[in-house]
Amino acid sequence: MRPALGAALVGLLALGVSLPAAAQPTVSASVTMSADRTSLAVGDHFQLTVEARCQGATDPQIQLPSLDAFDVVSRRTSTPFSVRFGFGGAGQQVQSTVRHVFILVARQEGTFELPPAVVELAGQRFESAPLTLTVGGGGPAQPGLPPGQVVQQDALPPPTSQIDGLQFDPGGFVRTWVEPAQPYVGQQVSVSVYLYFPQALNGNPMVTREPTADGFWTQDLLPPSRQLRPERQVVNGRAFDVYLLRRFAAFPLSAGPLTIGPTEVTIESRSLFDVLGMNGRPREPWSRASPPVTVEARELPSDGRPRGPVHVGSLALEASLDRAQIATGDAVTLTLTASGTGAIQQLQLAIPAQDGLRILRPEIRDALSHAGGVVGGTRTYRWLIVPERAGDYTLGPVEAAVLDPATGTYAVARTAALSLTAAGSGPEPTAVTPATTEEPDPADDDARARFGPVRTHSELTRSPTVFSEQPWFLGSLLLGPLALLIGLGYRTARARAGRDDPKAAARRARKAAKGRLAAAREHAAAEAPREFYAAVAAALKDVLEAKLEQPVGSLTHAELRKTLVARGMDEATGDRIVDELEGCDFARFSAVGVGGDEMMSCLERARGLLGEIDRFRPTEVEA
Amino acid sequence: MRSAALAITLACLVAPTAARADSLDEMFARANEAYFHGDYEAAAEGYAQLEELGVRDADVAYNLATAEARQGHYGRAIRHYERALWLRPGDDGAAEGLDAARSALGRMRAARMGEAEIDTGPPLAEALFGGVSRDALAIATWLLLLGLCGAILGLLFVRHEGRRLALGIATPLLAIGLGVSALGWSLRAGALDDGEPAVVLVERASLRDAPSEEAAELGRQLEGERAWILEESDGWALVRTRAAEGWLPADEVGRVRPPEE
Repeated sequence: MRPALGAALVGLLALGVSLPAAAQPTVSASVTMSADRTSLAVGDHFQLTVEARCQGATDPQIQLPSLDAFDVVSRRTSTPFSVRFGFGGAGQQVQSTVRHVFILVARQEGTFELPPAVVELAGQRFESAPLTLTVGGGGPAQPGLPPGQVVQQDALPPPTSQIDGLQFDPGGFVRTWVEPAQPYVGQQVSVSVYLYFPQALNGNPMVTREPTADGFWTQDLLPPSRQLRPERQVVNGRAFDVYLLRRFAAFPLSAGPLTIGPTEVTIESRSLFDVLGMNGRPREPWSRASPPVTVEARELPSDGRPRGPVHVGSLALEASLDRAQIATGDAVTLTLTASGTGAIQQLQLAIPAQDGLRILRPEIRDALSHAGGVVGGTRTYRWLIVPERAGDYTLGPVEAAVLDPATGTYAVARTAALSLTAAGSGPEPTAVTPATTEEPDPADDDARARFGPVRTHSELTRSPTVFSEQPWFLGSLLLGPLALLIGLGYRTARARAGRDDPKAAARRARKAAKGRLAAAREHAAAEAPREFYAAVAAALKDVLEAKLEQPVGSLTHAELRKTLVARGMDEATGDRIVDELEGCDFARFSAVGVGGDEMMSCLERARGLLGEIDRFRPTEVEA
Repeated sequence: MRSAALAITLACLVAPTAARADSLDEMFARANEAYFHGDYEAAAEGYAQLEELGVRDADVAYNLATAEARQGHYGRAIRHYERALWLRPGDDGAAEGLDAARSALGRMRAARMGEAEIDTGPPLAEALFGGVSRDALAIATWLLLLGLCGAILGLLFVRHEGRRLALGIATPLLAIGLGVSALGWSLRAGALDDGEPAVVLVERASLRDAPSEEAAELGRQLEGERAWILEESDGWALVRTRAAEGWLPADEVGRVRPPEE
């Protein structure tokens, strides 16, 4: 039997070994090569992915195309691998994948054809399709990124073809980038401060010194709080994570060299070991400053320059009246909307004065924006205009000179002329507040209107009486604690005096005895003889103890009688006291049938005895 | 003869006070008039002059705050509304004005910067006790202390069981009440403050690590933000903010509480 079993096992084992060999699948592979975009500009980042999926083989080796025409910023390889076991015809199936992901930077212009990526397995050759990449000159990135990989224009670092505003340091540096470097006075200069860091940040970069912008009117272009997101960039052959730290628009206020001051950034690197104090000496924080950057602000071109202030940027003006005909003395509202790009908030417009019209100070509202990093928006003026005489008036046109900084040419933006007719004599317009100045009010009028009115009555108090800060009040706070202390002292003194003075003890005993007799009376009324006699006996004993200044509870009645006589009490009184106590004890334990009258007479006797005990003056106990 | 001398003496004593009162009233009326004519700058100057002359009045502080707000000086408005509330806790108008000034400042900043965060709520201590005057809290503390001491005395001397039970319940309650009112009084009186509360008055104030324009900038404080002045020296104020401690030009930060006489 045993040899037969062994032979069967050997046979099964041989079958198990031979089955997988018999079911060996054929080898196959699929190789792909793709880029997140195929049309890009010099300096742009893009992602190249080469992937080989193999059936029936493990760890395929991909022969990658040459990437010499690009800077390799990063390379990542992953090899997901799976094996599926089966029986019968399916056998064991091995599937493996190798994926190489490159972040590349286009270094030069041209069309680059990447040859196919190749995988060779079991003597067979598998290829991907070739890939053609077109690299153009500088400029914005091409569309076509997948939604999840859209790179925000705001965060894109400036190109490194022209390295300025930085002091290169392989350990990281801070870069200030201004664009343009030679603006006109009043033209927007975009100032961006970037942190270049060679590795992942292990601390929060803190701007410890803000860039100064003396001689500029500035406007922030970034929200006060936001998340830092790095972009990868290669500088001098080294890859850095680039973080945008500051971005603001600066408008030169005068011609000449103007300097954007250095920005200092500090990173406190703190690992878990630092926090736990296990690293010994704490690590020095990383700190770098960008060099100052000078902007050469140019005067506005003199050719064709109109008189008066010039807005640099673009501008469109539009005006309207809420009514074209009004009564004299009534007010009409002229609304003028100026929209465009540039320092719209600095724009100053005025309606030409006219005889017979009173033009009040305008309300001004600004709605600013900086879409795409270009400052602009809308400024709305609202003038109240009061005709003081009847007649036809023409308002405007309101004009503003505009310089296009791209072409250096001037234009004039103007509104249409508006007609206004004032009829009738109307009321005397004396109650209208005159405009005190033509300077625009910087406040938002809607918001301002929420304040007030002011209070017309005031006590004009010179020194508000805060009595809680007066010394007498602070002193009065001690009243309570003082009273408490006095009370405690009194109680302590009283307790001490009570312990030392036998008369006081006797007084307390008499008082206590009276209380007990009062309780006894209540017991009698309640027909509770046991409690009644117990209270009477306790009253007598309390007074005796206080008088004799010795405990009597442990004495027998005979001993008590003897003690009382020995201390000077006459024998008859002593007998009556002892008899009464015996009577109480007897009644306590056989109180059935005791009537109320009997208890009341007992109470009277006890009162009499208490009086006699009180009058009793015991002799001193012999030593 | 004696009565005439007495009358002259009394007149001499009363006259300067009456003249001064008239003068202050006139200044107040002039400032109000300027306000109603839309000359908010002149109105603010008038109210500020009254404060410089020693007037410590919640209504004047309120009017000054309103005149500043009308000019769009929201940081200054916040400061003076807070001062009005310090002088008269629970002043509804000042509280509403303060909220409106903070909101307006937030909208203005959001319009300029895309978004803005403004602390609209007061600190916890002010939220808890801001509506109660220091005097009210002091009186409550005084009464509760007296009550607590009385209750303890009662426990020492009262023998009646029912009364002792009542006193035993009242004593811890009085102790808790005393703790709360004493804490509120301390907070409202600024006894626990590290520095004097103040408000940033300019749009952006550079916080520096030394009292000098050349000193390194530690950060920026925005208009209307709360700071605590620790000391002042040569036109600079050492302030503590929620983020850091550093120096600001003294005229860029204003104390909430009026200076002591």
